[in-house]
Amino acid sequence: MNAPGFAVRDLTVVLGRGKRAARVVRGVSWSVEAGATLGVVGESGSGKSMTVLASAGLLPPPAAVTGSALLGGRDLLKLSRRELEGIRGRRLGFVFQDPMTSLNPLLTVERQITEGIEEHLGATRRAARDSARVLLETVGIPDPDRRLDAYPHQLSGGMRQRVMIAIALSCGPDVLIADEPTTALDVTTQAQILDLVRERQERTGMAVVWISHDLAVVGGLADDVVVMYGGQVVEQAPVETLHSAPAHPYTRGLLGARPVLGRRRDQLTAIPGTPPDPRALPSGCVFFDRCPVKGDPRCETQVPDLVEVGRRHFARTFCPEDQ
Amino acid sequence: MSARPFSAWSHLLRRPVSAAGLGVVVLLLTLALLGPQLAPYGPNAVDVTRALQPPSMEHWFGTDDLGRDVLSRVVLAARVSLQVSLISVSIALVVGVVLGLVVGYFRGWADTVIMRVVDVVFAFPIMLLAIAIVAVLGPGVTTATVAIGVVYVPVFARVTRASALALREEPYVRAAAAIGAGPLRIIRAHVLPNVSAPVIVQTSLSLAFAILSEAALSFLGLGVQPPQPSWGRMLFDGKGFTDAWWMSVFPGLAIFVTVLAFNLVGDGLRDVLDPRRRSAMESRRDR
Amino acid sequence: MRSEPGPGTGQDAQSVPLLDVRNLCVRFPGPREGRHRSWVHAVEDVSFAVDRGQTLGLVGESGSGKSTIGNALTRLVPPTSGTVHLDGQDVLAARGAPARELRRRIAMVFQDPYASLDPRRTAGATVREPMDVHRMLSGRAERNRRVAELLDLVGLVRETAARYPHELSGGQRQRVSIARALAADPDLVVLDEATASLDVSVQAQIMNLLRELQGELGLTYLFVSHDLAAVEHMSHHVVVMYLGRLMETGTTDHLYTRPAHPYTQALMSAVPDPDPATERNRERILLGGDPPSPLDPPSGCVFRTRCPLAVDECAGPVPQTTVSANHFAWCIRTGESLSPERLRRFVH
Repeated sequence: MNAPGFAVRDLTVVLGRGKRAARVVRGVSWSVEAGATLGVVGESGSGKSMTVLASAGLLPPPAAVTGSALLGGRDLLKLSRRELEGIRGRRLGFVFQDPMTSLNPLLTVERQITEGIEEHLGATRRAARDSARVLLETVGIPDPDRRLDAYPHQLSGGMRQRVMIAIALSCGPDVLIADEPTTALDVTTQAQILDLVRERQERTGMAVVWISHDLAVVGGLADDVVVMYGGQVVEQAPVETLHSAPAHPYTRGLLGARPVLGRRRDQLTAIPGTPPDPRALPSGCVFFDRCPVKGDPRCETQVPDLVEVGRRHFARTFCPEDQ
Repeated sequence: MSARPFSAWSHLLRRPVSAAGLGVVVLLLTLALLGPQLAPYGPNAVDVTRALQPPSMEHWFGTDDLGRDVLSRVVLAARVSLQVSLISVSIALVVGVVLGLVVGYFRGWADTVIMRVVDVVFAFPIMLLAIAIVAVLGPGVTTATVAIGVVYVPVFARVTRASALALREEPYVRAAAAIGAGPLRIIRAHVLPNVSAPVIVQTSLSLAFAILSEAALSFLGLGVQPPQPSWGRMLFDGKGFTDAWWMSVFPGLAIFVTVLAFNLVGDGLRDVLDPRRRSAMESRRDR
Repeated sequence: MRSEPGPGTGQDAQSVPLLDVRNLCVRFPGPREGRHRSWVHAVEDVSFAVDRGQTLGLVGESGSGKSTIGNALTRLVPPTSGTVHLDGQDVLAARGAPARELRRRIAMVFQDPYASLDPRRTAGATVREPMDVHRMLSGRAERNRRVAELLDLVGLVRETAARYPHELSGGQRQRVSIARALAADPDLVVLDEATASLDVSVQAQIMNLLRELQGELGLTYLFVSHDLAAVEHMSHHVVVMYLGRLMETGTTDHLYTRPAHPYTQALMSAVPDPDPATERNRERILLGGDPPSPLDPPSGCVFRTRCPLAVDECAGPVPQTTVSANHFAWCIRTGESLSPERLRRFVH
């Protein structure tokens, strides 16, 4: 492996203390190579966003983070704050769900893009403006000269998310971490953004971690997919395998719960109940309460390991067969 | 957690801090009612031979420049001080909250007009306003009460209006409109309960300031008339006697304890009236 | 004499549709420039009808005006012009008691299941409120009994009545919202993005519940959503909107299998397919740019500034063209071959 990818190893995040401690991420490991895309899928509270926030040192102190987050052979969790700041924005680019709150309302688009370029690459103001203009062009913003002087509120939601992507890409990061970047956008805008990221990745060979609640969004983008539930990875597989042969009952449930365009069914296979409370996790399989299979006596009492069920295909279940 | 019938008072009493605040408030109200029976001396028992005595076994809080017992005066002043502050703040609360709710919820020209008037009253020096009211009512406790009440109306109107403005855009308020609830019902059932938190906080603050405003008015001869004691009045009277610290410290302490007690009760009320805070409290206590 | 009910909306001249919206316009005052006041054209000349017991899907992106229509029906915003009839009665012209009665018959479920419940009221008080407002049943005890029935109906345990919103999960809160909507015994329920902010697995629960309730109670739904797959799953008929205007309407089967309007086609091609093999090999119609401002919509067809098929004539009047029975598109190029090959040529 020459170009650096990104990996988290045995990452654990605990929020709060004592009995109120919430174990929101529990021993999560995954990796993504340069030029590849990893999709991380899960519902709210699954720990998917917490994993990446913790790996980049973006969680405030009350959160206890253990494990490691490896970027180019360095463990980000062992770095000082200063060293981390030199890496965030420079080698790790971030795009978040809400482009409005992620942008500073009082700064022009130019200022927000050039800030990182000047800080990390030591560019002059003028050179930074030039690269900001080029960046806006590459993310598909028409009339970039005029947009550079605009403020966030003068832009549409899609336009703002493009600016966020321009900021994330501004220093040519090795890894782009995108946390539900299209969830707040219209579907036609989402298609534009997906296209844009795919195209940039082909050109620069960066690794992409794409977090989404929607398996379908990840389907056309990711090479591998990690499915998270209750703070754990419950399944991991190449995207085609995950779709054609999902092994974990939760993944199967997710696939069946979503209506698919052009394939009408009378009933959606809903998963009953609600995700577990990270402050009161079950002693056995984290999906036990909602599981339609429950095919093994150990399900209720023992946490299953993440075991290999096929080629590059792992699942955390005692009942990987379709029953 | 089981669902049990909810009573604000019982919840309040289960919080030690609020219960203590409530206890002090009850004590103060007792003083106000039974003051004359409890005070060791008459409030106006002048004895110049014993003027400016420091606290002693005989006079726990010392005596003032006319030889009057400070403890007795502090006890007897509770009535008028509480009366002025409670009544004036009640006036401000009722008028201000109603105005704030109406203009905040309905907006329109009434909002513009009423809020301009409120701004003008707000900008008016309290003394000037009080003097104007004195011209109509004559000086006295009533005048002071009305003047302070009027001055605090804008404060409550603004706080309430700001919350009501935000609340009218809340989906649950729109949801109530969508089921056909009329504006009065929406205001009473959905807006009023949800503006209560900032209003309660404002009430505790205003009670404190009202006691001090009464002092200022009385000092100018526009409020409580001498020789009747009030805490604010005593505080002012004492400030010329820097050596006789007890003349201002004890009435000052009385104001401090009162304000603290009202604040504790106010904070407690805000918490127990909000189901979200209430269950946070319960889950903490259950551990 | 018996007449067979027609298969489609308003098909049968003898059956009056439950909801009949004609030429609805909703405009909001925009910013003032000098003495000239501009207007936001949120909904422009929209007509549609829904038969009793059916679901009409109202689909579009942000700014399409779909939610404004729901708000106009529940009188949360005043329509500028047009008519709305419920069961033949004029909803907008009604005053006094008949107006209240019409209001009772149109209920609404909102998007955000947390924000649409009053945090200081129990679920029971929330569900009871429509009955209190419309003075239904006699007395609180009877209403509370009805609350318990309603909670049962939406799949919640009766004890939920004593719970506050913050004690409930997103799915449970949305069930409370649905129970509230059903409390006044409505004919029409406007579901405004009712599943949008729920987790995927919970969305399915709620959609299944809504369909069960429709079957049991004969409810009529206006399913307002940006989610094309959810609309397809839920609806008998579909209305596609863009920038406050109708683009295309039709039965779900027709419209989804043969979308005729270039906007509908672009919208459908933008929806990602969960099957990665399908997803990677399909041709996507990518629209450029963003929708124009509703303050200053283009003349003629409002979609023409982003349309891959736009020609000069699109700036002129837009005709309603018939694609097939009960399937209409507002586009002068309807009926031409709009094959993917052809669209691709316009895109690249």
